[in-house]
Amino acid sequence: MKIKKQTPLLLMLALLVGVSGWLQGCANEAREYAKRPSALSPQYDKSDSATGHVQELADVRAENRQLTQGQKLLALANPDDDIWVIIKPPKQDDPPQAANEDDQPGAGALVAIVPPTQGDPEAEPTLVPMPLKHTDVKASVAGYIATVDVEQQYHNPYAEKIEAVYRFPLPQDAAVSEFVMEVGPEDGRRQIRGIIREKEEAERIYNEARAHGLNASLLSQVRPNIFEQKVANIEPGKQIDIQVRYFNTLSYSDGWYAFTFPMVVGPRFNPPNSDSPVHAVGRGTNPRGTGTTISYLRPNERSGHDIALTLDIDAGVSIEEARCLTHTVSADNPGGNPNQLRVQLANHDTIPNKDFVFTFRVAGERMKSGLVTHVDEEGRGYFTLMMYPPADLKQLDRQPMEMVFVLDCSGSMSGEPMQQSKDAMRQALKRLRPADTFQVIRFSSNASTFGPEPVPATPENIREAVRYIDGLSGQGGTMMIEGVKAALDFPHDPDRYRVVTFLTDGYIGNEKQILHEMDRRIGAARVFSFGVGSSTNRYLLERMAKLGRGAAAYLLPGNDGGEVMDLYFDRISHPAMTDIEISWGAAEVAQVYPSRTPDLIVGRPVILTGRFSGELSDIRVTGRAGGERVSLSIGTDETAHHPALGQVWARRKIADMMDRMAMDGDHELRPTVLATALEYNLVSAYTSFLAVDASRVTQGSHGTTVHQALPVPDGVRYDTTVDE
Amino acid sequence: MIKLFLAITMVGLLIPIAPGGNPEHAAPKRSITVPKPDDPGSGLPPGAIQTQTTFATIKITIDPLGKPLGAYQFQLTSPDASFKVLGVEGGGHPAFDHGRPPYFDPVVREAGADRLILAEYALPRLDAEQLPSEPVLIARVAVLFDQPIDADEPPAINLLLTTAGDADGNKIQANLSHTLQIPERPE
Repeated sequence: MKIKKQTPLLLMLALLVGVSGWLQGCANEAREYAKRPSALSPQYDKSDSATGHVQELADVRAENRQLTQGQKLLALANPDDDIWVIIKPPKQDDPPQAANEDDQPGAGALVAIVPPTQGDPEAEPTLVPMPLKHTDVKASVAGYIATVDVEQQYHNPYAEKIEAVYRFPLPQDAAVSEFVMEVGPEDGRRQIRGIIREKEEAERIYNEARAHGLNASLLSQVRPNIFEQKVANIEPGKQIDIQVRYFNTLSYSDGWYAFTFPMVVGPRFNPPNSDSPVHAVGRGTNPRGTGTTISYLRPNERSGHDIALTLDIDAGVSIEEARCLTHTVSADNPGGNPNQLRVQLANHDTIPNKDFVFTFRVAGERMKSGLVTHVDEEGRGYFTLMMYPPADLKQLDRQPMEMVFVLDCSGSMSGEPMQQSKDAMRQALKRLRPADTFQVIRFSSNASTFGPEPVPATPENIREAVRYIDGLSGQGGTMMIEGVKAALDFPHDPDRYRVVTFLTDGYIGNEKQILHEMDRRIGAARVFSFGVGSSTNRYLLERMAKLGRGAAAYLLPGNDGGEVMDLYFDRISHPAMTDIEISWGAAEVAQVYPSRTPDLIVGRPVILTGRFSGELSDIRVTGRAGGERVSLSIGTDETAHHPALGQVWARRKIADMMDRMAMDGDHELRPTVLATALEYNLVSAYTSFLAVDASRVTQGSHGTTVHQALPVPDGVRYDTTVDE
Repeated sequence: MIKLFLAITMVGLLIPIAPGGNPEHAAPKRSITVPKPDDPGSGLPPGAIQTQTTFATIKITIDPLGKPLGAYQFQLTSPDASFKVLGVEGGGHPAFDHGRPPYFDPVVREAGADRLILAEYALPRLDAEQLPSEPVLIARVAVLFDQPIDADEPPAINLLLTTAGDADGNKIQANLSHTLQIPERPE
């Protein structure tokens, strides 16, 4: 008998051999395995030396006074009670405080008032009952690894039994590894831990259980960042909760760590002949025949679904500054510890219609160590390394560029996203040098270019290009493939460094086709992708940048496009560190993902994760930058630890194999993906979580399927993106 | 000693069910028409295949024979009836209530059939008096047998107690038993 990964199981074996004092150790280790937030603090080998918290808060307050209105940041520090309040000025479409008030006794939270700016301001709000009434998110960050518990509360507001179906986003690198179904509480709260199974088998069992009238739930992956939750046989007036836990790594850019929780799937455009489309239809419209259908609420509708979010950060070093540009939040540091921060979503900002993005900056620009390790009970070592670019890169200048801008002018980009993109491009043109050349490509239902070929960055050409950009607007479909072809198919000027910059919300259903075509055509070009909007398709944007050895960045609502572009130019104005080789010292290292080490770009570290044995020390990275040989050493004397690294590693391994399958058509990897997902208890393209309550048959038949209708993302127009 | 109790009320489930909800069922706080049009109109949901299978719950009890129970581990298999594990609940005793159901070995498939290994430990810093010393329900395991279950010939269920310990971490003697419950369709 082989026992794997379950700490309590091993501890039981310890009991067999009579280990004295075992029980307390069992409890301690099992608590760690249970991954309670408080148990996930990084364990640094050296004590933290950060001091002067009150002064830091005062600095934050002083700095905030200098921020523009557009940055929407105000931190109020009270040195006496160490409470911060970060306020986003209310927008007109923020829901009123009373939005969640019931206007019908006994209607529960399923009924809400439509915010007036989502439709006709004079129109009466339309109340739409939906099964998903509340999502509760509790996230904790230790170092740069997040543990996120998501609870979805499904309630049946109808007179008949239903099956609820909800399609929702999670970060594309989320390692979804726990699944619990809670039935009741009218029958007494009962929690059933679900099990991971091969996807087809899980679906078959779920359908059988549904046909039997049993409470059952199924969590499947539709895309790497879109998941589907089904809950069967919810009886009238009853509630079933689904609890999901996942792990992922924070992103880091230009000194800021970012925690992101996506809240809504944006409506996708599907070019003709897409093999696995994601359809966007109005609520109550028949699902499309193939692919995935997502229902959207109409502009004058809202369901009562709201969201609560709490984020606990333990950075291990003093947190100097923090921002939330997407939501109104409150923040404080419990116990006055400057390394920690507790963030809560404000009560009046709970409509799940845009990504939640919280960023913070720590003392010394980065956390103490980018290296996190874990050795499991079977002795398998895992590590995650956030590899920061060497400071030397900033001293090196770039070669002349061939800058290609590719702007998404489809209907979903109309409004603020289009305006931000234009601002960004105008600013970028100003940063070009006379030796550079540039091209502007727009695409919607088709693609067109500013000129027949890249033109020199002369003042006259730039003025002409600005006029061209001014005349662009958002309408039509999203034939991104045309933009990709136009950007990558023309001959490359060997004397210039080609940089292709995409500005898009990524609302397409044919990601695989786009990535495949990019891979075929990319050559020596570098691709940088800008996600523009409140709920962009981060999976596509990150994968495009990865393929193009560049980086992804995001223009959130309220961001100044020009400022974001300035940061971008600071980044690409220095050569990347390429041809990277890593010496792991005395340790034996294997299965490092991504399998091709990305280039290091100023301001953008690379995250590697792998398996190791022995001692990880004396890590040295060498490569080339601007024709020169550069190197850096990775400090390992302050290594942190995290118990979920095995799952983080397994998720990256699966993502790497799925990328290879998509690019090369190498379907021989499927068994390896499946085995990895089953072994590490992860949802994947081939595995799903299933939970069944086999103790009781519900009343009536299997009931009617109700698709949870979603709000269109904040800033996206319904009429240009959703099919009626 | 294994005590087996089989309560079979239905054989060969997956009887086609009439569409629509039960009109006699108590309505919720207010009546809302269920939205169209996702119901295919048949008795079975889309994708359902009629098979001769049986859903059941295996309830597992441990008797620590008068000693306070601090921890345990057991293995569950069925030698003559292949089953699939569909979910695991704890037994509900407050000494073992960690706020979440117990973890189990996720690699449940072995030689073509499922087997479940489950371990649990009491909350830390509990006195012996707070730990169970009488027979206590420790797990409810939802399973799907890949065959009809005959009330006269119930499938054998093997429970192997790997270990059990008291509050001080000393090994203790204990017995496992189980009952098999097949859910009854309401009248």
